[in-house]
Amino acid sequence: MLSAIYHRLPGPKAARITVLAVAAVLILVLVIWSYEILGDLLDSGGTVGE
Amino acid sequence: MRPTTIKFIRGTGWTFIWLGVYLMGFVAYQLWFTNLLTARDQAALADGLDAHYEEVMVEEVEYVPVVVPGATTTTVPDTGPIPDPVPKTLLVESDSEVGEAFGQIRIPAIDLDVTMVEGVRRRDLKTGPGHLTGSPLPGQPGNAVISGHRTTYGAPFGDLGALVAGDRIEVETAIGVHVYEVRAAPERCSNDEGLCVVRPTDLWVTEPREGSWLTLTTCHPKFSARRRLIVFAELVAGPNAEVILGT
Repeated sequence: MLSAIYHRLPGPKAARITVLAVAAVLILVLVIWSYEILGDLLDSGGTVGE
Repeated sequence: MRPTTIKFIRGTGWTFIWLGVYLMGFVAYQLWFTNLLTARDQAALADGLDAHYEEVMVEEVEYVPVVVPGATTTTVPDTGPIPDPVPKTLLVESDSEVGEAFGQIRIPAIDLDVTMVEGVRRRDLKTGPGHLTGSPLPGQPGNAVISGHRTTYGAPFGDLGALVAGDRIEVETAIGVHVYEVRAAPERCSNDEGLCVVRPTDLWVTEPREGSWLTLTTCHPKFSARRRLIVFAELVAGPNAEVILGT
């Protein structure tokens, strides 16, 4: 799947790899952020009234 | 089968595969990775605790008991003129910065020994149990409130539900080791198992109390943040116990 996306991207090789790397980091950040939000449903730290 | 149908089935399959990967990642992140983060933070907090004890200001102040309106009072029999009371003094320590380690909590019954931090912000509780800013520090008169995670971020209060009346809790701060004893759950919050379970908005558990109390709060049941499990413990020994208990 990654290679399919890579081949669809325009531009030289270095630019394509950079775009893919940036997209991967953004997705990772988004996924971890969503894990944090969902994690509060499992265990919010046990505070009262905060 | 038409090509569009095949494409649809393939797309649906990939969607479920990625959803499964996402959920597996979520479970691994919550139950494994957050523990690693907290273990790293706990090591750093424990390293800085001795330095904190040396930096913190400790002084003696006059003891002013916490008076809760409506609480029962005792009637002292008339035994003649009352002599001028000798002022009692308490050891108090200066407040810590939010996010800073300020003490250690040990509960032998559940094999717990962790460093506590000041504050109960999300980022504070990721590092260890947090002291509710505004409530008294452990060892002081009133109701010191400590909150902690139950299933993630090291799960310091994971086994809080196993505590029974009489179990000892030791809290070390700059002024010494304060020993508390767990008390039975009050009737107003006791469930079938004898645990005190309340809603997250039940602020009465954090209200001031006469004497010196430690209130531990965590999520309930495990893997849900819908309710709170509360453990109340009363000071029985420590640097200020004699003055507060009046013995």
